Amino acid sequence: MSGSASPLIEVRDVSYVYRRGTSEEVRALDHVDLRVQAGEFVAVVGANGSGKSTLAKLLNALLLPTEGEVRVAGLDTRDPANLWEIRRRVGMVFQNPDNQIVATVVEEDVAFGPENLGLPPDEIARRVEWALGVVGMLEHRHREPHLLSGGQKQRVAIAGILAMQPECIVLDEATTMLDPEGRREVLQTVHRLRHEHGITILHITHNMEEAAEADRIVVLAEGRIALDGPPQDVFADPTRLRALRLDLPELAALGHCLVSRGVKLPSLPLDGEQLCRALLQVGQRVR
Amino acid sequence: MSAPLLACEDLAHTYLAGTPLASVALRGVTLRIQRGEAVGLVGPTGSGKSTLAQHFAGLLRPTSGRVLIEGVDVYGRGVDLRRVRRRIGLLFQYPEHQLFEETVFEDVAFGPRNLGLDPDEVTERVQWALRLVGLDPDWFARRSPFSLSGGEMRRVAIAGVLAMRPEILILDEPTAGLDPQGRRELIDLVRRLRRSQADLTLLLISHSMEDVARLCERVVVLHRGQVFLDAPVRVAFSQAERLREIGLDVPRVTDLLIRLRAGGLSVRTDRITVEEACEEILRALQG
Repeated sequence: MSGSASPLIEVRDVSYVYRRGTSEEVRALDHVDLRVQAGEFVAVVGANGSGKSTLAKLLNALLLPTEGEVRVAGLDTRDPANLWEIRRRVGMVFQNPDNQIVATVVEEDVAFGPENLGLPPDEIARRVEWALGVVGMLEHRHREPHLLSGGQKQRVAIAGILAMQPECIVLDEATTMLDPEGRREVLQTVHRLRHEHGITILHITHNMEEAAEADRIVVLAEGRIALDGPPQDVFADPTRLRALRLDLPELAALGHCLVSRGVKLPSLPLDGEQLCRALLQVGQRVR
Repeated sequence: MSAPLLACEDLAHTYLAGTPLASVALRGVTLRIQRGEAVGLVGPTGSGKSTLAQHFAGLLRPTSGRVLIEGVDVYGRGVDLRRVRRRIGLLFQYPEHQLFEETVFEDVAFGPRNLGLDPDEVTERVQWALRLVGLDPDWFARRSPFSLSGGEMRRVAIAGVLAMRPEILILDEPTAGLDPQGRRELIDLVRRLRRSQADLTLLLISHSMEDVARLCERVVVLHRGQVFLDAPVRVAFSQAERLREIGLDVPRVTDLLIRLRAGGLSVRTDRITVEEACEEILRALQG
């Protein structure tokens, strides 16, 4: 993709103020600029209260900017005529898996969105089957959602968004309440959506290991963008990260520790395989 | 040998027993926990962790089997459950949702007042507990809990439990939803607590193997309502294959050591924190 392509999401000089004009006014976002290209996988991290969820809600017009503008595929979120088109293009998955499912049968839940679009029944059926297949939940299509695990419920929520044929999925701490297996299921699904279906991903998380899997990490602090770059760069400065109430992924912390003690590594390792290979090579050189 | 502080024998629990909705949560769990031990209770969602904790806390009656404190059957005839509950502090998940008083002081004082302590003793305990969790009573006591940050609110909730001076502290996912700094502060708080009160017994329910590695010496793994593994933390985490079988993880640094060993570098795999793993790898590289 050329650098001049217009971005899928464009946040231009956006501020958001809660309880504006009262004594409890809070400026959650303060002149934020952010551009996300179609197909990117962006992790958004930051301390509690740094503005992450506010940013997420601005992206599909659940909130409208106090100042500045947000555009999705060129559509201004402030124009009420764009509302449904924006929400179809940008789907949100929230933290609590129990608050997102409305129907009593899995496939009916996934059909909820396309039915509201007024699509013909065979098109709805086709989309539901496809979406459940993509998230690996087809065999559970006739089950009751409350009998599913947390990770399965989140995948059903994702299927509901997929059935709308979106361009972008925003996960707002969607893995926080899941066990390790549930987290893995959701992340694997997200990677697949991105690689096989070209869907843009914004993943808001406190988990630095998950952030390390993105192509780009945006760090928010007190309503502003403090850092924005590939994981390698963002995790290069542990002192800076700690000052932002964040941390390194465990393996990056181990990498820094080894380098500071004189071990020569080609680059900052972010996954186990990479670090393992690098260390085995060092071991062979020593011997 | 004297009776362990906390134990259960062949403990079973079925929710909605005798109805078509009956579901078995615990099937024959036997555990012995000595005074001063720190035990991590881990397992996939639905494995029975919270159900077990509620039995220990005197909140849920066994379907069969026994819960014992110093050898006395907690649910036996003639035992005053209120007295049992005072010995055990249970911090639920997302405890900040349960704050309700107008000031931090009143919230922390709620439990001690219910113990029937005189006002001076209540004040003393509130101040002690707030200091222990790192909140200056002069600054925080008169404030509304709802004006605090998420991490501060959680510490107020913990202070409320500590002000009861429990012998056994049960923490259910205490770091869930906190930013990395909030998580570090909470881990430090629990470590400080254990140092200042060596006979405090800790039961930590967590999905984070890293948290368990930092706080506990022993780990009990539940799976489908049964004890799957009960071992010292280092022994348990070096059995990555067994844990992965049931969807659990080992700390990422331990996983790396296991890979390195498989690749021919002679490292020990029972190292579970970044610092330990760093030393171990350096030792192996220097041969």
